[in-house]
Amino acid sequence: MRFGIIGCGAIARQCHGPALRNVPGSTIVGAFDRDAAAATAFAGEHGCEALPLETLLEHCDIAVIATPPDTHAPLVESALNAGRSVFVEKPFVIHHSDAVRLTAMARTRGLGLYVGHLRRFRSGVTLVRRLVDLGVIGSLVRAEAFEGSRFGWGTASGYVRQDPHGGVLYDTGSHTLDLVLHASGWETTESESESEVEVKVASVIRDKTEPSHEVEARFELSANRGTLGVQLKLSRYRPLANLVRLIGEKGRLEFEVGFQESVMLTTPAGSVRLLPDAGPTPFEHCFAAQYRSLLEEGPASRLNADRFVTLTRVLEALHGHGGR
Amino acid sequence: MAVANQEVAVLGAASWVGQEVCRRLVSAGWNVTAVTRPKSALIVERLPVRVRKVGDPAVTSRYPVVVNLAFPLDYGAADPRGVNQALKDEILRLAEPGARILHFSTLAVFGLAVDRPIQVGPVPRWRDHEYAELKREMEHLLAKEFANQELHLLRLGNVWGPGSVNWVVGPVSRLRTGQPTAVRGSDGYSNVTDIANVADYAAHVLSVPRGRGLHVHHLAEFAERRWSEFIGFLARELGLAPVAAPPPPALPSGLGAEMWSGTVLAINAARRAWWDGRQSGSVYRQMRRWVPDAIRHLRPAKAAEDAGRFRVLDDAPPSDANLLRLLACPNLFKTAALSDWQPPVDFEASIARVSAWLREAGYVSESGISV
Repeated sequence: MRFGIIGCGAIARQCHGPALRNVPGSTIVGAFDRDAAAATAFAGEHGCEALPLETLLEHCDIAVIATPPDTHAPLVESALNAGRSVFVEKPFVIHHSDAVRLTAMARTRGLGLYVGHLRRFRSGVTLVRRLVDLGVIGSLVRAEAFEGSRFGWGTASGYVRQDPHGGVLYDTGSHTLDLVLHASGWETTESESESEVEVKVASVIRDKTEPSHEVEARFELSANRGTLGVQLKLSRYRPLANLVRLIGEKGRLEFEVGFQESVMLTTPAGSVRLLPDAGPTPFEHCFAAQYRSLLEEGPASRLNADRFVTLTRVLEALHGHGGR
Repeated sequence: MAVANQEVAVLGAASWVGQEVCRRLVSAGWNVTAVTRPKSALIVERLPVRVRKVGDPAVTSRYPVVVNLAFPLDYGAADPRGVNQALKDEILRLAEPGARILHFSTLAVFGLAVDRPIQVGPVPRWRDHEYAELKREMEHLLAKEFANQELHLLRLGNVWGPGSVNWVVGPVSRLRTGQPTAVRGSDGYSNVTDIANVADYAAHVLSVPRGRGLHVHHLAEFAERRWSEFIGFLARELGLAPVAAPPPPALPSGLGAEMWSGTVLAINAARRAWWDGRQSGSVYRQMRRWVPDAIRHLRPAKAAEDAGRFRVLDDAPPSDANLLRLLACPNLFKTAALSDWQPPVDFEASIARVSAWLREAGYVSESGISV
């Protein structure tokens, strides 16, 4: 399978390029970046050509979009229009309407559209999802998610401090919220139209106008299956607990947002720490697993963009909510 | 003591301790300029300080007081000693003639090396964990450069407090994932200092001129408290039981251990090169260090001179074994602070501050149940 890289910043150079080298049957045919020097550097490192966008889309089977969030929607659309499947880095797109439109476009054209959410491949997350599906903690009533650390990711474009959607909510928060939605089963599913999921935002407190670096939000999801209250706290300034806590009628599950896989199950009878059979799943493993999933599972992949429409709706609602 | 609008430049202001020091200096009346790298600007911009880029040639202001908390973070990288030199040069660039200098020797000098004699003066440069070596080297660089000025070396014990990555976040993570946070049969001295006391002490030191020359301070006001008091508190807050590990193996020492270590490292380096084509800087560093020292040990006189102060440590603190050694630490890092200073935060208040932070950071659920 021929991959074309769009956006040659830190994530492409440090993660996508090396991951693709380890996926059997994959080749990077070219790279594009609005900064020609970045594209040339990436091409030199990965043995491919720096190409104009149109040429790259002609020569690849799957376009990998690793650019700042604001650019995702038009680039996804260009790639789909060129008849290419797309693997776009998180966050999928900014606007819920774009998510609905682009996923429909991909389905209509029979193309793959996938979103990079590597944490879905962590063995601990898979275990939590399984425990929730088995009803071990009963119906979910509340979720709490905390993720924070001193920010140190060196983006080439500096979008995290300049773009309105470069703040901690879309950057880190898309990961954290996806863990909540995926592990709890509240992600968009085939059996339930995402339009049936309603997001009621109670409060959003941010340290400054967007892009903000610290956010605390409270909101509620409601659908035919019930309601889920969510507390979310994110920071680029300081460490937070870095955990997700799912609270059900019969108990609670707690797991790390990072790459520690142990899961704490607490019921009225006591607590037990669970470790997944699959063992630890390091970052590099999860990153490469994304590519294997989209190549081997196609539309059934847990990265299918259809599954991220609710997440996009939540992020947009929180981002657009007034407040400090 | 209030200081009216005096200028101070703080290098390393984005660090956890640096942020606290900046806030405390501002509250004491200082005009603080945070000197930082672009990638840390996001952190310091929220502080009530001016921000200046490290090495910015466009800015030529000099300061009567310079505080340094920066150190070579990537000490496994190619040239950490060059970073020390660059930091010293930056301090020199920031300092006006005769400026007062306050340098923090955080964590390492009396962290992993707490079993060494505590000296009120520059510590001899012996071979050790590279992190500790670099700390000592920086002290020597500054002592030489600012010999005729007021220079304070503030050596800290294990800095604890709300948000401490090493001593709150780390142990909590270990407690939550069932990793050892105690050593069977040993309950070491914590050698702890609270971050609020650290910042207050820095402000106190700078509140009045202390006279030219070298001033060495040691801060670990809760040093005699045992680790079980801190870890036990965290475990109770989380509703978890600490797991105890067997005592860690003794540190290797002597030529035989060194050669064995070098052989293992060489095998690992070859394996990694074959396996994924990558090398960590630490392996190269260890290899570089091993060769000259092995040669040095072939000379009996020199080997005798080095006896008892020669060891190879793991690359990065706190590795599991190093952490366990600290938790079982039998040695006390005694505070040597100015006699007219009293720590504003006592042990109970320090514990209460961390308890509140655990809730605010999300470790304890709003429903009051931690797990």
